[in-house]
Amino acid sequence: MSESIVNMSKVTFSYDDKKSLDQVDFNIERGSFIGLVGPNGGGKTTLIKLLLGLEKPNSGEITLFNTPSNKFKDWNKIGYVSQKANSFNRGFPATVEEVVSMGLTSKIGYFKFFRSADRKKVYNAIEQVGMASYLKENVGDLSGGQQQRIFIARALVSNPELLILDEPTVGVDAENVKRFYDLLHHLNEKEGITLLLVTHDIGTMTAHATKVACINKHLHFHGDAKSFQSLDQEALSTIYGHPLQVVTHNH
Amino acid sequence: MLTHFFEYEFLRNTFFTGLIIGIIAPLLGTFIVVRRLSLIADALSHVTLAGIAFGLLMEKKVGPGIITPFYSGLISSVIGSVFIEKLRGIYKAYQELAIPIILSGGVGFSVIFIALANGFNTDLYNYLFGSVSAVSRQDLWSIMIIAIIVITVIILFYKELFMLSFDEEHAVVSGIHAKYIHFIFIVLTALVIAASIRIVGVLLVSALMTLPVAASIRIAKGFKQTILFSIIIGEISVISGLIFGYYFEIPPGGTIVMALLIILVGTIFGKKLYTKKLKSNSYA
Repeated sequence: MSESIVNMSKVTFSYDDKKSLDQVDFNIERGSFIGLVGPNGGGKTTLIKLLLGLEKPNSGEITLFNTPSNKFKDWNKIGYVSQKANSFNRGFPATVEEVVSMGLTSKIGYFKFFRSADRKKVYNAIEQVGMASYLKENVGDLSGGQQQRIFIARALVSNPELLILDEPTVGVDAENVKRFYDLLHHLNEKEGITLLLVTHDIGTMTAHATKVACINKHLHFHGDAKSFQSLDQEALSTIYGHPLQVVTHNH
Repeated sequence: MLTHFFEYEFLRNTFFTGLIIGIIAPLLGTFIVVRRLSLIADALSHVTLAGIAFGLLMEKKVGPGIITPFYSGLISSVIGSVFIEKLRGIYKAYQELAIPIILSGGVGFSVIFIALANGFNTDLYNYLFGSVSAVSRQDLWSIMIIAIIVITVIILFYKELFMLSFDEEHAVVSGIHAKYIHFIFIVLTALVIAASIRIVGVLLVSALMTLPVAASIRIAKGFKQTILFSIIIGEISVISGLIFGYYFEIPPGGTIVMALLIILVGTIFGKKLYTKKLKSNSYA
């Protein structure tokens, strides 16, 4: 069994009085591709916020890369593509290069400037997502699928070992969803980046991810994607609290 | 035509001040526009007016030498900027509320100070619409120092400011100290407004910060180019506005805004024609 880079043990978190996560044990192994599913309000976003250090658990422990999360400093090891990334101001005058270089801003630090090595990193990240020929284009002029690649490049530029993607395929057409998963496979298998993908689209995700975690306040399922696919409708409905129709895509 | 501007010291001061604010106003304006805060410049200019009115009142009642209107305007602009940032924190869901609150507060104080002084006539007129003859050598030095501070701070915090403007949430997640940087930025804006008011006037200072950007954003690729084009457009407008204002005896605030509007309309139609041409070429 390979090394765990994220470990949550008995983590509980509440907003005001409402428990969002209750006694959750969850871990991410290096090199895995985990799909995180669950109903709205089931705690997916909370779980991500805890992993990114934006919220602190009420009880329980979180370890990131073998360091307790409250002492963890190496945030560049975790890349994050937000759900809101695609809802940016499309009229904003920023080139692909400028947007991706933002991924290095905090790594470089205050009172320091971009060097040529940093520019090289930016270019490599753009090349990784196959957008090198759009370097000087305004991001607002690109298509939704292309913009999404740029935001992934922005998360990749600081060379993360774990990449967290929050609902990245919302509003993306089928063709681009396929290209998106191809890119994820490439990142996971060729570049060795561990992936945590939050999604509503259970069917497509289970066809691609190696592992699935299903969360609704409690962690209801955490295992490989094949056995998640074989869960019957009844079990899923219990987790989601309502009947659920999963469309499977087997490749 | 330009020779007068080098012959007379007051015109020379105005000309250099114009060159300086032609750089710093559009430079900050670019960040203001993309953050959708265009009206902040208006709110701050009216607060600056309150400070200026206070300074004029002091000059009239106590005599010159205590505080000049330039400095009292500068101080009140900075205080106003601090209040705007505080109010934006208080009304998180209605951040634009800070603007009418500060704007009306500024006008309210101005009216009171003006009434207390029984009116100011020409001086006040110059502050409202700008003047080609209002910049003293001391003002010019102060404005130069402001420009050096503004440009240095923008260069130092460029990448953080850019990131905050593009996607505040992402910037905060990556560990950028949004609160401090917003604070620094709005104080810079206050400084630039106070520096620009002598030439363009209270009522039109926001035009010099936003119209060049409105034109530049239509034609530029990327953020740095938007800043560069904004500054070029700002400079062209200030220089031509000052010259026409002087020769036709019109306050430069008016002529500078006219120059800005002409360029803006030019870029809007120019871009339309250009894209049409591109399309017809690609069909050919």
